[in-house]
Amino acid sequence: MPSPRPKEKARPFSERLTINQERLLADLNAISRIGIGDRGSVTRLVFSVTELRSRQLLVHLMTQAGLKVQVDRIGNIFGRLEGGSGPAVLAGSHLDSVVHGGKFDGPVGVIGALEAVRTLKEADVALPCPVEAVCFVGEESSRFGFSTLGSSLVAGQVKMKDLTNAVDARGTKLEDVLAGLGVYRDSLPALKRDPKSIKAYLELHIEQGPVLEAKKKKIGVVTAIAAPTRLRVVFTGQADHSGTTPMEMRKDALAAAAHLIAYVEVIARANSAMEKGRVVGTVGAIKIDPGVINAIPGKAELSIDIRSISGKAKERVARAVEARAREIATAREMKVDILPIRSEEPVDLDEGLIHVIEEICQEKKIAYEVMPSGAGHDAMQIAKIAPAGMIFVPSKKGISHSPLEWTDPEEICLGAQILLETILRVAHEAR
Amino acid sequence: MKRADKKTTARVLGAADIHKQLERCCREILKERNGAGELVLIGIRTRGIHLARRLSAIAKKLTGREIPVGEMDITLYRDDLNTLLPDGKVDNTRIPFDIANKTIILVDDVLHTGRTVRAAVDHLIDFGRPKAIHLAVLIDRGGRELPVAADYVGKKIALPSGGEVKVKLKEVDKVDEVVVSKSSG
Repeated sequence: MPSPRPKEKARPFSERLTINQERLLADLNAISRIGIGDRGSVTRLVFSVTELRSRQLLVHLMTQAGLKVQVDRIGNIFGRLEGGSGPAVLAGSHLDSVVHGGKFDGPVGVIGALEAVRTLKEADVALPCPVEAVCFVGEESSRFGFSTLGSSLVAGQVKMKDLTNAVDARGTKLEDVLAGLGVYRDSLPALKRDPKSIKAYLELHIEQGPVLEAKKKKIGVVTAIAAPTRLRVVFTGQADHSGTTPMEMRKDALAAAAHLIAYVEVIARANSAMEKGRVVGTVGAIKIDPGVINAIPGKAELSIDIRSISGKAKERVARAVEARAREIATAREMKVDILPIRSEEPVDLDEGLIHVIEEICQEKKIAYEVMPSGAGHDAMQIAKIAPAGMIFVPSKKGISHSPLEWTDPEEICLGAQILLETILRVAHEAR
Repeated sequence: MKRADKKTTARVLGAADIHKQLERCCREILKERNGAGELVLIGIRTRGIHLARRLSAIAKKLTGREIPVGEMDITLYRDDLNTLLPDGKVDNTRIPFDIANKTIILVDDVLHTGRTVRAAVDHLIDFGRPKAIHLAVLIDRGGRELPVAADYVGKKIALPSGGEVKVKLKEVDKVDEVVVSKSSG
């Protein structure tokens, strides 16, 4: 019989460990300087030179901290601190940004995780399992219309056809960019990480909404992540002269579209009060053809985004919008095409992790809010293969994806501190 | 009748010369930079890294103290990046220490246009704010296109623009030598 391994004497995990706030904020600033532009905006589109530079800096910070750094083929970065045995506790987020975005969306979670892991390393804590700080590639959909690229691949969730259609504004195909990095279709499945190697995934992120500030709460404990169903609806009527065509003889595609836009707001509002399945609906873009003052619009294309943390509620609203679009088209004797874009399933985060984060907030007497996330995050992909949890910190006025995005330094530090304590507790939990 | 260009090659430094020049540079660095206190060496890929390691080893022999060595890949900071797509590698720069307030000696094999050095300095500045950055090269071949100068030079060679200088190091080329080739004819 093999002799049992001597158990490492674990020090109590409640032991006071404090992150280095100054270092956390300095590194966050260093990342912000890469890709900085007008009015302090940040532009680091995925696979751009600035985005690559920011990841290069992260590798440096991890190397400097003495972590074992691994970069997978698509560029996801894992900075590992060995300890004990078994699957690792992962914490991270992303460094890529939207065009003219803010300093905090993503980097707060990456540098926050790095700071937590560095603190553990410095304190020389006897860890019961490994801990990793992680940076996922391409969380934002700004460049290729493809969100959470790196985490989707790690979770083995990428559909080939989704990749094929991903093209940036200059016509560069995501597939070609990946080929340039030496990543091809058939090598994508190899990027999937063994779920057995992940004990839990934790993500610190800014709220990107107004709830925490309005309720004067410092921390958000995220229960679920809403996912979008996106539709493109194209009404095709008849382009005609705006002066010579009598009203009763027209097939005005934009007038039809206007009815649908109004309906999206009505139906989303009607479903916005439901406790478990709050729905939001937006028509964010519209394209009109020919789009001139003296022509009846012959074609109107709407981009519709419907989100909820309840897949059922979201689908119900999406089906209602589709049905209404067909009704409108039939009544006006015109053609309508409904093209689904990427549809994602909402994700519930792990109840055990929610409980741990709540417990820590209660012990520290921190005002917190248990809430869903309206925006998508890497956590929703990793949640498909491992228990995932998220910690939100407040966003001033709820602004995000803008240079006006702001979170107070003390709130960022508090978030990172809670992340550190959560990592420690989860590492010690028997799962 | 047009004659084909002929290249004449000549060896300008051998293994012993390279070592001698590195040792001299190292002594100068140690003397001028006040011992090896906050001094660090950062080698530019590929041969600069090996030269930086050699300088560190020489310093250890001379003072008993090693100088920390970092490795740098300047690809993402090149000024011709629009014609040259980055390959996505982000972990070819490995600097296992904080560079803030350090005195950095950048090390490369050949100083020519100065463009590599410009890229290396920009790269370093993204990583932090060093106290000072100095430059050490084994060969200065002239032909600058940017206002850059080396602080420590193994050997200066005045080479016409068509000429080539090749530094070969045991670690990558199996031999230690510096060869110069000029077009003639």
